[in-house]
Amino acid sequence: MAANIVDVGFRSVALTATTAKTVVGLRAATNQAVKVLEQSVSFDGATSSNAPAVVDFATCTFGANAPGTNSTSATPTKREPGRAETTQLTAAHTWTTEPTTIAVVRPIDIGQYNGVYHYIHPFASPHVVAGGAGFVTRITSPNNVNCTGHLSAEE
Amino acid sequence: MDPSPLRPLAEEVRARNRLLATIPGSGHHPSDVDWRGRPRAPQLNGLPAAADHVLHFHDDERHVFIDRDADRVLDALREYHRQLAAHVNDNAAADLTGTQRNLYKLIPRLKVRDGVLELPAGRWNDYLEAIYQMGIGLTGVDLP
Repeated sequence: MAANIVDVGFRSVALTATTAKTVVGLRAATNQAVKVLEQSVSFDGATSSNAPAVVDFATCTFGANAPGTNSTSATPTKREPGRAETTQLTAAHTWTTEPTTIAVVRPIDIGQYNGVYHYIHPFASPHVVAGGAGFVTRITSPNNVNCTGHLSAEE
Repeated sequence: MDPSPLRPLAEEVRARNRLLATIPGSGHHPSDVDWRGRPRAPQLNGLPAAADHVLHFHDDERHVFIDRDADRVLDALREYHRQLAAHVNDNAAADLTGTQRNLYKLIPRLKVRDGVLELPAGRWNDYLEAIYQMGIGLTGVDLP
C-alpha cells in the first residue's frame, strides 16, 4: 500500500425503525486492493430508553447496487490533497436499495442516545478488500434516528 | 458508443426521478422529515432535486453520459476548468490540489462524441469532485 489514504463520510443519514440500511460503502477498483483503516458511527438520538442500533461492518460483493447505483456517489477525500494520484476506489452513501451480497464481519450494538463508535484497525489486524470487492456499514435501528460517521481506506 | 440502447432506460429513470418529490415518504417529498423534524428532501438541504439530476451509466471501466446530460456535464467541467485557469494565471498554481492539477490537464481533452461523454473509471473520482462542485446532482445507472 502506498499510503494514498482517503476518508468517506456520511452525515445525518435518516434511519427508519427496524429497516436495515447501508449508510456508507466503498468498492475497490478491479485491479487495486484497498486496506480499510477506520470506521466510525454515531447517532443523534435523544431518548435514553431506546434500545441500541445494530451496526454491521461488512464485506460486500456489490453484485447489485454498486456505489453510485441506488446510492449517492461520494467523492473520497484524500488525506494528502497535494497528491495527484486519482483515487481508484468508488464510494457512496445512503443506499435506497440494499446492495448485495453482504457478509457481516463485525456486528456491534451502539446506543442511539449519544452513541459513538470509532474503530481503528491495528497494524496486526488489517482488513484488506480485494480488487472489485467492497466494504460497507449497514445499520438497523429499532427507532427512527439519524447517523453520521465515516470509513477510511488506503490504496 | 451508440447511446440509443440507453435512451429508453434513461427516460424511465428520469420519469422516476420526477415522481420522487411527489411521493410522501420517498425522502424527496417536501413534507418528509427526519425524527428531529428536519426536512429530508435534498432540494431543501442545498442539493439538487432528483428531477434535476444527470444520469451516469457506469460499469467497472467507464462512466457515460448521454444526450443533454453529456452536454450539461461537459459545460460544467469546462466552467470548472475556467475557474482553475484563473487561479493558474494568478501564479497560484502551487496552491492547486493534486486533483485540480489533474483536471486542469484532463478537461480540455474531453469531447461529446455522437451524443456521448465517456469518462474513464480510473479518473472518475477527479471528475466527480468537479461535477459536485459545479452543483450537479447525479443518479447512477448500471451500464447494461
